[in-house]
Amino acid sequence: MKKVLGVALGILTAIGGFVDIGDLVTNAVVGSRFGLSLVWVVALGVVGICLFASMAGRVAAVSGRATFEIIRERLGPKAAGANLVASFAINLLTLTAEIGGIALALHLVSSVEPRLWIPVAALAVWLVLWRVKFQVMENVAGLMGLLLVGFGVALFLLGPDWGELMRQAVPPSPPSTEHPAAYWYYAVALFGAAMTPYEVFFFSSGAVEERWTAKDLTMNRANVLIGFPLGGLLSVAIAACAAVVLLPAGIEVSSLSQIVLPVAQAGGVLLLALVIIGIVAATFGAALETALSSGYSLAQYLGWSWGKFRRPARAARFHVTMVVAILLGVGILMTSVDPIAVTEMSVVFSAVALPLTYVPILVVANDPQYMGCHVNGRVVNALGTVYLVIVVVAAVAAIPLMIATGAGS
Amino acid sequence: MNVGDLLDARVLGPDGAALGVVVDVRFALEVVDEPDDESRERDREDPETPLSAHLGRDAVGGARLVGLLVSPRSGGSFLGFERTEVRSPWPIAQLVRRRHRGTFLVGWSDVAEVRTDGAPVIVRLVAGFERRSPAL
Repeated sequence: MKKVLGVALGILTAIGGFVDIGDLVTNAVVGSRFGLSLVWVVALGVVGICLFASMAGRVAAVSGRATFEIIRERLGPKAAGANLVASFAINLLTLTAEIGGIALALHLVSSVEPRLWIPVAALAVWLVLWRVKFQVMENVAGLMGLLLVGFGVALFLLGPDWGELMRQAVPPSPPSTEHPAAYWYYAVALFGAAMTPYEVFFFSSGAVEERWTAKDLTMNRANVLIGFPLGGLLSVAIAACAAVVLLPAGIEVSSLSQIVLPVAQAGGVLLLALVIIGIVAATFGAALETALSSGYSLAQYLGWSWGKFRRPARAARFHVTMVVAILLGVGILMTSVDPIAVTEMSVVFSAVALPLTYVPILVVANDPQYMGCHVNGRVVNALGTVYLVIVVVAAVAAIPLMIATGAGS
Repeated sequence: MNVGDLLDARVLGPDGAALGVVVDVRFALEVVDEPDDESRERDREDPETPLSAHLGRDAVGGARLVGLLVSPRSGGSFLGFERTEVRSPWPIAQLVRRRHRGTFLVGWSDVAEVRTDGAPVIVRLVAGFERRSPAL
């Protein structure tokens, strides 16, 4: 019974933890401009992250080594160092976007200017990282993030023309007013949002934090294979809400208040309040995960003690890294840069960085010296190879598409 | 000389023909028995002998230099594929193996001379050196 509860809890937190500011913004923007014609990318990204995260979790559980330790070992100091610089920079960008997201959500409930909320949000993130146990932190953020189900409720309350939504999705038919390059630019962005590399740093290091062993592999698989697809459905609900309300009205999403507009229209103040709490929880949880990821990646590369399972004094440099990352994020936000713009940047650059983490994990998951009998099977390898191609194509196409479309405008 | 000096060194055959570059240096660790408490105690009370001679220093003994991994082409990581017969994931394994095909392990005893005076460092092999498989 306890085991069943454990699995259920894992699945629920995986659902609630799936959506972050990147998913939220990108899905709403895409829904308001392209309807559901990019829903196939969400499906593609969800299958990808399931594959990728369960592989990283399996490697960590069996070998006890987290992703960046593997990158350092397999690529050598120079190539892994370049990988670290790129991964760290993108992770920092994502952390900045998440902290900005918390501030925007708090702004919605309080009408206090977001810039005043930023230091508060950052301080809260740091305090939780400093004091709260890993599992408590994960479970609370994940469970409260489940309130984003409110987007699904709103969609039903809106009573949309389901046939029309289906027609947009299959076969994918973007509105004729949009340029194909913009369509593909947002396809890459959506893919990057679903598959953000920090999730893999976090997932594999989290497996070490929670002391997983080969016995926990079933749990790992259940969490990922059930939790992430259901989390993906939340993404689709966000896009669908935007497609039903914002697309016909010709509203292009440029702020968080527009993203929650369909919820307010359908469910009134109560549903709106619940969804905003969900957004705060989801962005807060993701801010914790990205801050931890910055500490994980640097500490694992340099061989420092890391992990929340150690007391902060025993992993001082790991904690200092997180503090510095948070401060840098706050610094970036204090320049009055638009957090939504930072988010859009971060998901596109995430797509660029995907091969950096994906390739080493795929290689190590095949190494019998590491994995013993838990090496990748044929099906996983075949899928892994298909995704290798997709990930590389998305990474190569991202920057040219960004330039060609003027970042999608 | 540091081990790092050997990396990227040019490798020449006995006749002076270029064979490739050193991409890795392979060591074997001696395994010694875990010392018992008594010998650890003796170690602690014995300030005269150097630490390296202490029995209880480590359960693993010294590292013995086995040889050099020589690749005809320089650069790029092996991603660990040189150590095993693993052929998957197919595209990456193919790419790495293709890039490093012809890589061999040459025993340290087959090295005639290491010249560190110029850059790059030159490693010359003895006549009749043996090309061994890099797999473990």
